[in-house]
Amino acid sequence: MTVLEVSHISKAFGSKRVLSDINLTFEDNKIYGLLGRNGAGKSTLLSIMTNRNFADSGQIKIDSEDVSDNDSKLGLMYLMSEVNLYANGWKLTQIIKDSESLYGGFDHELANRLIKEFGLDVNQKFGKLSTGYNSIFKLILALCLPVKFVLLDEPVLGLDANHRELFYSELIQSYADNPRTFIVSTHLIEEVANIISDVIVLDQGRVILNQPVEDVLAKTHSVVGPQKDVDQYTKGLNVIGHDTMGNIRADYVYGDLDDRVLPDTIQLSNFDLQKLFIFLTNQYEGSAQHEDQQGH
Amino acid sequence: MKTNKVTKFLFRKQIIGLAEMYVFLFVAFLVLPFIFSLISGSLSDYSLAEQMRGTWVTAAFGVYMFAISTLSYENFKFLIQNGISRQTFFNSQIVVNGLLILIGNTFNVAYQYLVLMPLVHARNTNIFMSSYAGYFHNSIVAFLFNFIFSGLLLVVGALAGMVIGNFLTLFSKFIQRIILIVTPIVGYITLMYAASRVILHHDFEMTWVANFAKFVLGYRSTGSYDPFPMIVAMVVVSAIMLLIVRYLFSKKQLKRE
Amino acid sequence: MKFEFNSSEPIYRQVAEQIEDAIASGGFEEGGQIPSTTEISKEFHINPATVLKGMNIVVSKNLIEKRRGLGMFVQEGARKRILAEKRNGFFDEFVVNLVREAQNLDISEDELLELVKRGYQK
Repeated sequence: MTVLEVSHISKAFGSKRVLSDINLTFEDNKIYGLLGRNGAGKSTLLSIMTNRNFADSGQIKIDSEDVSDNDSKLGLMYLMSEVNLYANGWKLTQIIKDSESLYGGFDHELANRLIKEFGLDVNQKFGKLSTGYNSIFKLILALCLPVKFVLLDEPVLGLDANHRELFYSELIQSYADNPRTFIVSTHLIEEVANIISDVIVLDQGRVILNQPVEDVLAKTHSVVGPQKDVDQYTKGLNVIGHDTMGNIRADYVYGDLDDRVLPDTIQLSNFDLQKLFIFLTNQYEGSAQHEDQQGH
Repeated sequence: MKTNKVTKFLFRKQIIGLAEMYVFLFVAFLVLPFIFSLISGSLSDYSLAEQMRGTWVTAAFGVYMFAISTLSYENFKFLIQNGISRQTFFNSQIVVNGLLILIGNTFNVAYQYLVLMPLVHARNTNIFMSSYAGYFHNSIVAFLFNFIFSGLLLVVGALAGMVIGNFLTLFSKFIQRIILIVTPIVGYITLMYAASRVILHHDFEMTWVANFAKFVLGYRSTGSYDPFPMIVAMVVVSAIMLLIVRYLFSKKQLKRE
Repeated sequence: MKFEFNSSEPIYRQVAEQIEDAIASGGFEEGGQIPSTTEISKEFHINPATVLKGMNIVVSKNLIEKRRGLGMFVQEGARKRILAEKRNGFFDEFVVNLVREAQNLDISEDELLELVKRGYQK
């Protein structure tokens, strides 16, 4: 059992607070979705987790050991991100070789299959890759290096629809063959909604949601019916958004419905992660605090 | 810790760079002049000995050490991507620099004794030979101290390069440029100011500086200088710079570009 | 097999339902093998644990069984049992809604029965 722990991480750039007291625990063999709007602090958090940048305060620990200046712990993570840390003049084959030697392993069989499927030419120099193949190359490294935690920051950036499809399938295959922890940061929520097992939502540098997807979805309720009845029914519930069409109103509730009586005129169903995300990170700032209280 | 792996990685990259530099210099200083002489029909003026006499051969290595030391950000990026800590990077880079200096210094000293002295009949092939060698009466001892002395000079040069280079990499490219422009200007003004104080105001407070310099250089009014104060000074300066470099390495992080 | 997912029900339950539907319709034959967890996961981009949870529901109903090292197979008699179960649920799931909708449209009991008959003749 290997646990990656983010403990009281805060970070500011100048006077701008990017992360405020982030606490998270990543467990074995789960696929986490790290969601947030642009500028929510996702990339900064991942970059601090892998010790690329320093936090102002707080610690990153793997199995209770601080990862900074700790090769054996840092070597358990690989962060694939938009930032290019490979020099433009290096050949892909050389980068693979050096990465293999530094991480102490590489799944060549998988790599060869992926290289073929994606049609990547590994005899090129890194700087010559198009945006799409740049992502693909880094994804191949992420899937083939022997790490416990695969951190993917916007993994499908620049990939066309076919390659995206292929990537998600290969991610699942790789996860099934060799279970380990994935942390996928993305703004394409629909594409990963069913793949992730746990969802973390960052908003303005704070964690506003951190739960298994299944539990989260069980707490989403769309309440549809005549305006008057819906208002009556959702009184006191955590309404995070609504739609109105003529006299028909839909209230979107996040949280448990108590055993209040459901009128005949009202239809209840769940709604999806994408909708929940939009409501939580949009105008309804108050709901974030509500969720915090529920979490404890 | 993965010091061995990282050392191998850095050594391979940097020894290849060194070899490339020597090839380049060989072409630039020996082959090209030869071709030019050939083309211009003045081949009789071309002298291999004259070309090899130049100090470039021994100076080149010092420049290379300085240069690679200022270019550590690229390696840092690759290593942090591959889960290598700053401490390991520092340890490995120091080992690699030590190895390179050993190799380069051996090459330089061999070049002095095997090429410059017998072929070109040069005596004062470096600072040590011109100022300190006469201090020793035994030529083998002189040879040993020449090796140590030139090695230490390279160590100081490499570490100075590391201090400057790693200091600069803490900043964004924009700030780096500002520092590179402002520092010489400030330095020049300071120097002018100091000089004007000494010359115009006859402030002889500067004499202690001169005396200290004389002491460190091992200056003696007659005969060869004493090499030991200089050796000790280089060791002390190196140790201080090593600590500074270690601190600078520990502060490395990814820049937002 | 063709899965269609909606957002109003947990995915694992939908996985279980889709497998049962496929068995009921004969898409998965009795005694035959069904796709593995990984295959379903890959095809529909669903977390393998979610798929497994759905499959386990079907396993616990003795409709499919795991054969070690081989995969999942449809049990004999599974189709009959699924149909029986669906019949039991038919009233709650369809008839109640049908009658409610008919009442909303002011369709009388006799008229509704007439419509049902017409539906059978078609």
